Amino acid sequence: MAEVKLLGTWPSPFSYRVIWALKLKGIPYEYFEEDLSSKSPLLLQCNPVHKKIPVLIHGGKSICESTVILEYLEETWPQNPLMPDDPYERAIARFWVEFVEEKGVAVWIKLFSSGEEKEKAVKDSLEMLKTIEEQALGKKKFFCGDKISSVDIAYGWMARWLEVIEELAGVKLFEPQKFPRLDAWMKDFKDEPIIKGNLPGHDEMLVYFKHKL
Amino acid sequence: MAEQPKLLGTLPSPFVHRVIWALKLKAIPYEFIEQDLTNKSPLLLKYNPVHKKVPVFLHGDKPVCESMIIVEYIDEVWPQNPLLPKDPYERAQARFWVKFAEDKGTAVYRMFSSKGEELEKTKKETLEMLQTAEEHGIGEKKFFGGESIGIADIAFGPVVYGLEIIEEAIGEGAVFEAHRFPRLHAWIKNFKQVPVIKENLAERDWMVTLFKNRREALAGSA
Repeated sequence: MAEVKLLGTWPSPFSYRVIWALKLKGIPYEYFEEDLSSKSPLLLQCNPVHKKIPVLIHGGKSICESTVILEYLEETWPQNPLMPDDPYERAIARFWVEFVEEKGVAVWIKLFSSGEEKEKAVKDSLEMLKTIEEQALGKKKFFCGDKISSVDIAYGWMARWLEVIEELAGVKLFEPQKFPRLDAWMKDFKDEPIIKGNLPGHDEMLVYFKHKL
Repeated sequence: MAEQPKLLGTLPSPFVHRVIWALKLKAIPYEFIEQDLTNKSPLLLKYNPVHKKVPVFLHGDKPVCESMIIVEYIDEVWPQNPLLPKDPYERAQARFWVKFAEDKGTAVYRMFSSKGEELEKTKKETLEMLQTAEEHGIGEKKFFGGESIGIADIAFGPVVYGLEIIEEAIGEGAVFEAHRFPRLHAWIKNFKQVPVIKENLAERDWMVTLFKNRREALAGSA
């Protein structure tokens, strides 16, 4: 089996998505920490379009965009499946991945703005959380059932990064009593051994992001 | 499957067209249920409670939403005339460009509803998107999918066709110039000549008039 390399940065949640998937499937890989203020020739060569991490390199070929990488890993290494078997269930899984990409990820930056823009970002974030609470999880332990899937991996940033974002932006979005299903999901997600052993520390992240802001 | 699948949509919608093309390329019979987006039907609200948008694909009683997710679902359930390659790496490349069309293609639609400084900004974004697709996306290939159209062509089709219509409707100079984007110009020409696409493309003059009127209405209500 050709070798696998991952170009990432700590503590990018997009990087972590790929790390979680690789470890859950037991795929050996070599990790390269990128300095985004001084991008390596390898990164620029492998992701000329976006020049971003994560980049997966498999047998010399590069795959970019975390959600695209997740699908690639699933198809190339089918053991410990992270997507449902049934095409309809897969369509639903993809729907919820796209939802968090569009509504969650895009809103982060705007939480660090001010005035009307920030207010709107808070409102949009709360609506997003409400939709996930009411429509996405249902009675299931994880987004696709009893086992962790690519959808949980896509939402993983909420289990650790959300609280850091809230603290730094000075907003309070998530309250356990308002979002009990999400609260239960966050706890179950963080309890999964692979996730537990591969989460960036809260305090370290605060220091890192404060410095960036 | 006893019942025909249904497609909830509106005819000018570029996103709805993606699903129509996928269905027609695979010769899948379906029922089209025209929606009035100014007065959303109970059917639409029931089957797309999250976004309340078209297209919605109904297979039996099960709804699938979001145009490119629907296209992928159709490709998996009806494997004839595949829209995605078999090889996982090639599939990853196709998905990459689908995502690019989805993320960056919105600049075109935002051009439509902007003017003045905002219009200049969205024009610039559109040009950047075209430049990247020209250099890295289409390359030397006839289609994004190679010799025949694939999922990335379906994703880009409405973005570029939409741009041609929108820039004519705005009437403030061309963005998608042939000398700047020769590969993409060749591509869209070939794309529009594929029989299924040709027969299922919203008529250009009709669309330009429609968009001109909508743009005037937007300006009037601003």
